[in-house]
Amino acid sequence: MKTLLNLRFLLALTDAVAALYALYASSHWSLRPALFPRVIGIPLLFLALTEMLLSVRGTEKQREGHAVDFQLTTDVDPAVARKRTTSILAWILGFLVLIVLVGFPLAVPLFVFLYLRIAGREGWVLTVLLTAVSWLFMEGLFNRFLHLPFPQGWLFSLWS
Amino acid sequence: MRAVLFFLASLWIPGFSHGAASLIFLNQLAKLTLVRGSILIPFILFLAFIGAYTSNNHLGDLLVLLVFGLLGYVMICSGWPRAPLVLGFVLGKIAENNFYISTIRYGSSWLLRPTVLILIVLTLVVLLYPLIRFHKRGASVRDPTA
Repeated sequence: MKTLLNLRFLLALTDAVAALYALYASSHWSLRPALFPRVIGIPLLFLALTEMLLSVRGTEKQREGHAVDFQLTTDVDPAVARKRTTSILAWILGFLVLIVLVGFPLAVPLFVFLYLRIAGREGWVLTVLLTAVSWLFMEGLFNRFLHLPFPQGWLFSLWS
Repeated sequence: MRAVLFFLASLWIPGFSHGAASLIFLNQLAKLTLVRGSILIPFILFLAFIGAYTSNNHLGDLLVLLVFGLLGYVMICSGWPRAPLVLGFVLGKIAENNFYISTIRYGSSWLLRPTVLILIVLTLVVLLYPLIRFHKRGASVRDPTA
């Protein structure tokens, strides 16, 4: 059961479901618009099923020839790695919530300040300096110079 | 003639100036790799979020950024390369348009044109070569005298 529920299997299963959905949806269309989804969907389904089979058989480590690019470090304790991943994910989600609540112009310096102070444990001088730099970037470059239309933020829109 | 020279200059001048600037500032730019992660992370996140937002000026793109970020992480954990996904996204629309045009213009006979046949053969070689190599190596491991 553990083998069946590994990430590699689930990713291949997701691909197979996506391919099946594309094939099912395109089965109701006329030939011309349905051609490309079918041409892509059939090999995708076949390859996803093959990948599922390979992941169940556990042949990943014997496989050769795949591109070696960015890889996760293996010298860190898995518990520590999980904790770090959860932490950065929480920060990213927090940044998104902050943007929605107060808008980009305020969220960016606020996030930079909080991250440097709490997660980075940087000194006050560096934190304030980099927060000021981020605010200058936000206000000077994106707001004043490029005139990007940033939304107001949910909290401020309640009062206006 | 003047238009051609202007066109060439508009290609060359940015290329040369970009190359020169890169060479001049290369050592300074390389020092970025020595900056602590805790300082880089908020700025990278800030630029990633701004970049995603400015593509359509829509906050929904930030959710797309998060979903694809998570997908990238899951792909790394599963040992899947991300480059083919990115290539698929970039080339998918172009491939679909040209596939549609070729089929409308030539029917299925475009599959038998020489250039297409060469590309199909090359694709098959690229797909099958690692499999053949893997099986050959597996056979030699099982039978060392072979």
